[in-house]
Amino acid sequence: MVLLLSLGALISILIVIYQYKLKILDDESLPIAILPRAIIYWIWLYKEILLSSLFVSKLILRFPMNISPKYFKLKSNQKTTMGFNIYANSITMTPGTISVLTNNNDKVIQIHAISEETKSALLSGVMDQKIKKLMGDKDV
Amino acid sequence: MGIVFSYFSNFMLIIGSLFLLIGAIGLIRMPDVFTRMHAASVMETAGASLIIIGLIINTGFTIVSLKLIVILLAIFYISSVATHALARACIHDDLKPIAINKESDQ
Amino acid sequence: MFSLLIIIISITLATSLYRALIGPTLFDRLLSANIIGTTTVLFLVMYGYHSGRTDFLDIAIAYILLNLIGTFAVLKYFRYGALSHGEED
Repeated sequence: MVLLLSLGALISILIVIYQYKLKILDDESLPIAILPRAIIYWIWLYKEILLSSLFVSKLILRFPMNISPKYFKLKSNQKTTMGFNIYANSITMTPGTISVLTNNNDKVIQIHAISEETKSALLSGVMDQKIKKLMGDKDV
Repeated sequence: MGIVFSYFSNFMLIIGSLFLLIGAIGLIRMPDVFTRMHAASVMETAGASLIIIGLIINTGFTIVSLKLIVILLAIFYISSVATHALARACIHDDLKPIAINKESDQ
Repeated sequence: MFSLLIIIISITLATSLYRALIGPTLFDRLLSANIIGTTTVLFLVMYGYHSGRTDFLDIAIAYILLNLIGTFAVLKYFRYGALSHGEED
């Protein structure tokens, strides 16, 4: 059992290395080069998800429900397509903000936010800087 | 040591199920499709991930917890992609969120 | 512990079903269907732990992939009117 599983894992790794040497891996594969930094980014993103879901929970449980949703456009500083995708997906994954329409050519996202606080938290650009750091030197 | 892990996993399970309940309340109370999506996002990310991480701590490192990690990653990616697709379909179907209506009133 | 969680998840399922029944637009119903899918996965995992049979996890993995495909199929059908072609117009 263990022998079979480890042999399968070994052969998969060898095939990936072979394709990497042949340079036939395209951009849509698993980005191995940013994977160690991605784990740090995921931990930060998970902390952010928990904090903003606490905020949205407080907003839901407030008795007279006065929410004022916002709809606005945001220009991101990402250079690559993958960084832009990670940015839009992280915005959607965080409760309180949803990326509605994305444009890859001029890197503009239209965002629906549930209140003023989540909007200003997004406009401060902390997440954008984190993703630029995640994408590494070739992005700067 | 084992009893500490047990208490910790029970704590995470209870917090996760509380997030699920709060999201369900928000699904009923919110006034419009886009704001309901925020409540659904609370359920799908915070609630589901806390419950599954609690189960992983309860199990330890076996093949079962590996399957649980697969389910956790799938829930994260699938929920965000489905929410984005749903929001885009709403906009294409000329369903304006109440934020735009408020701004055009002023 | 697990039976308490099963009760809470059932309450969540019932609430989502209520929203799916009274939802004013189509997208409310789709959103509830999506949430019911995710909650069903959690329910299956919980039931597997409750009855001590972890085979339910495989069924849960199959359910979550079906959930994604179902949501996309319905969205694509109402956008284009058919499932066969999908080019951006």
